[in-house]
Amino acid sequence: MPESPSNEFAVLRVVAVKGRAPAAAVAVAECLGLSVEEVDQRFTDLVDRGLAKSTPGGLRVVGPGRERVAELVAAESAQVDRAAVAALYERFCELNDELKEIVTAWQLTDADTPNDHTDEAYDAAVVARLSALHDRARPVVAAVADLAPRLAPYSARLDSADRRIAAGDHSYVTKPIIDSYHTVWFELHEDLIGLAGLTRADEAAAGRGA
Amino acid sequence: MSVLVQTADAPADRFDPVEILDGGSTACRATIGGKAWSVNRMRALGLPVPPAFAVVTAECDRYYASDRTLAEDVWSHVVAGVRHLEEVTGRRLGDPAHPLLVSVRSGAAVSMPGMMDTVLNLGMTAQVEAGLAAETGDAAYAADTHRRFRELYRSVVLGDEADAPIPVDPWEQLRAAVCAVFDSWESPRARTYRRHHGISGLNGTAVTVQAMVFGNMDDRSGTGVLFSRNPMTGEKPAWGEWLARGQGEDVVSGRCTPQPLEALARLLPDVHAELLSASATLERTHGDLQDIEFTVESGRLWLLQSRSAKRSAAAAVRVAVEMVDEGLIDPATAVRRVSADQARALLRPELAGTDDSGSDLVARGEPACPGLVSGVVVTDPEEAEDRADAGEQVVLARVTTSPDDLHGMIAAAAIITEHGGSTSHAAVVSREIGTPCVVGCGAGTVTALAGRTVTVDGSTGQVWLGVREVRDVEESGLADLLRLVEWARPLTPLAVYRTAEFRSEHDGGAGIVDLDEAGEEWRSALVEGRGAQGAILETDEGVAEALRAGAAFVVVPFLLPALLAAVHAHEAAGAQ
Repeated sequence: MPESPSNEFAVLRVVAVKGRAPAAAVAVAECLGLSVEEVDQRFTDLVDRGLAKSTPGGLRVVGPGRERVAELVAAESAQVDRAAVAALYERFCELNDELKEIVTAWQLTDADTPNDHTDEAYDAAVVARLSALHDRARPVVAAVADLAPRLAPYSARLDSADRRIAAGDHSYVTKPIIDSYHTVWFELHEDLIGLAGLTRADEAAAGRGA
Repeated sequence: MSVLVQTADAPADRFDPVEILDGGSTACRATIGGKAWSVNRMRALGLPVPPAFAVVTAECDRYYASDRTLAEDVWSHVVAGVRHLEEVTGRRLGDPAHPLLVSVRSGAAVSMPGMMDTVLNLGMTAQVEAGLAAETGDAAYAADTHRRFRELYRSVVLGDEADAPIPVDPWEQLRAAVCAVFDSWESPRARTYRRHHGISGLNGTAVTVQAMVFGNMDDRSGTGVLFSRNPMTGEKPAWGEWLARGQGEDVVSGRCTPQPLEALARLLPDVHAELLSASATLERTHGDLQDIEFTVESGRLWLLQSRSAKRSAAAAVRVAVEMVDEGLIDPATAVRRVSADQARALLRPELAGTDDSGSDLVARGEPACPGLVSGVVVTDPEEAEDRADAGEQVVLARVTTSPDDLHGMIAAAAIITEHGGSTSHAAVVSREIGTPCVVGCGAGTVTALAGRTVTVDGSTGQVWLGVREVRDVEESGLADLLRLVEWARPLTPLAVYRTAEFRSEHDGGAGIVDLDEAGEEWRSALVEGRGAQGAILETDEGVAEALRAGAAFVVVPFLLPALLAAVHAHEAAGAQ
């Protein structure tokens, strides 16, 4: 297999961001548009190099792996056009405020009432809002990929969640663990914070990153 | 399942291509779309709503029949519609001295994904921006409005051709936006959605064009939101917030801190009085608690939107019961207004002795997911996972959560964060996994609580030191709930008994099956008895299933949640 440091970074970062590699390499391969064989090989490399360990729940990045990810994220961030990232991040944050409201409306019909998903008109209206937001997010996500090619797969991942929702699979709105719209969006947010050279805690304190 | 939507109350060809929404339109929802319909209805009630018109749904059909072109006679009606907006507002499209800006929205009889979203501030040009800056004395606002317009227009109207220039002629902008709304009717996503949901029988979408009003025009301008009663408690009088010299987005985004409504009463007493009277009219008309968005432009009140308000469980019950007493709704409507989940929320166990707000209260934040749990505070998600695996009950405390905290969150019995509100990642995930969660407890909470045993109340947002005792709520002590119980009983064939009061002579008590004993087989067990008991009956699904199985009665800890679940399931079944 040809040595491709950017793919190594991509795989390590996905595992780190998700906290745990999904049980099969195939899920990570799908995320990144890589072959299952390559991802399997990279998993083995990560374990061999002491950056990750195998656990019953899946591959877990350990201390040295986390340090390595932080270095790679910092290096990536140092290479990009900071002003362009900052401008994009601001646009993302505006969309993020809306996304959070939509996702909350999906879960709660009001502050105290969980959405039991029996009201089809209500659900359709929320899905419509999400879909309209996705249309407006697409150019932003595409522009992110232009700045940092490693983040290019986010476009396809969000499109995929959006398609599944439109086809009626509503678990792809907010369900954790699977690549639901909220899951992918939040991982993108994490990567944008890294790319902008910011930290999650600072962003949260500023009311943007929680 | 298939939905055939009623196309029109009257033949659609009775309507001109454009309906002026001044309260005189007789078009139904299917003809002009839900948004336009409600604008017209508010105008018919004599309420001040920014002037608007709608291009009717039949024109969407014609647009496609003529190969996606807007017929000239339709366009001349649109132009006449804009002239009407100009007349009412005293502004003109594209006029830098007094610019008219409009919003353009899609509006089918049902909302669906893939349809064009709203374009705001259409009519904006470089000259208009300069004019608006002079008129409002706020150049930054004018520039921001222009930027928002460009972004929305580009993504919503230009879409895939996002690099194409935005027309500098406002009329061209309008024509393109109207066509974009019609085009979006046949977008792949909208078609997929209609096919998947079996929606047929619709002409297409309508287009609503409405004048924008400015809350930042001068010192006698502003924007706000009004609830016809307090949405937290359900109490009268009306409750609201006001932001002087603010535009709509400022309040929604939380960028500025609004003032209580009394500030408006002091500044513009007539407007305040008019607003309260509009609120009463809307509440009476809809027979429900209203959430009203309004803007005041140079001392003139405009209502932007009125809808049934979101409300707390306590407010839902109180408003429903008081509106019956006030003769606004009948008891059956009151019962429909309260969900079983809201009743459950009010009957959740409380902490014993919470009213002695003593020193044991160690943190307070925003409730994100209800539930009452005790555990030891762990600050690292991996440690949380490991200790939970070892059988310990842990509370995961984080400054804020990241995606990689997910596995620790799943392992934890409760989650607390320092930063973030009820829409934050921690809040969203906790609701998905059903884990009690309090967010936004403030800086320093994590360090202060690390290693200590706490009790987390996800319903109130409170965190207490130690393992707190829990006390059950007495349903029989809550008068409003008991009235709803009496109103709900005649609306369902299912009899409901409280566990503590059930006797074997009740309703053939001998024929009762215990669904807890049946485990996974509870559905088949239901058919075997005349009545049933068991934890599954404390959910909507369990009660609905009991109804379907023809059970005569159920025995549950609380009456109201089961009765409401039965009434709602019974009515949903009847509607199909």
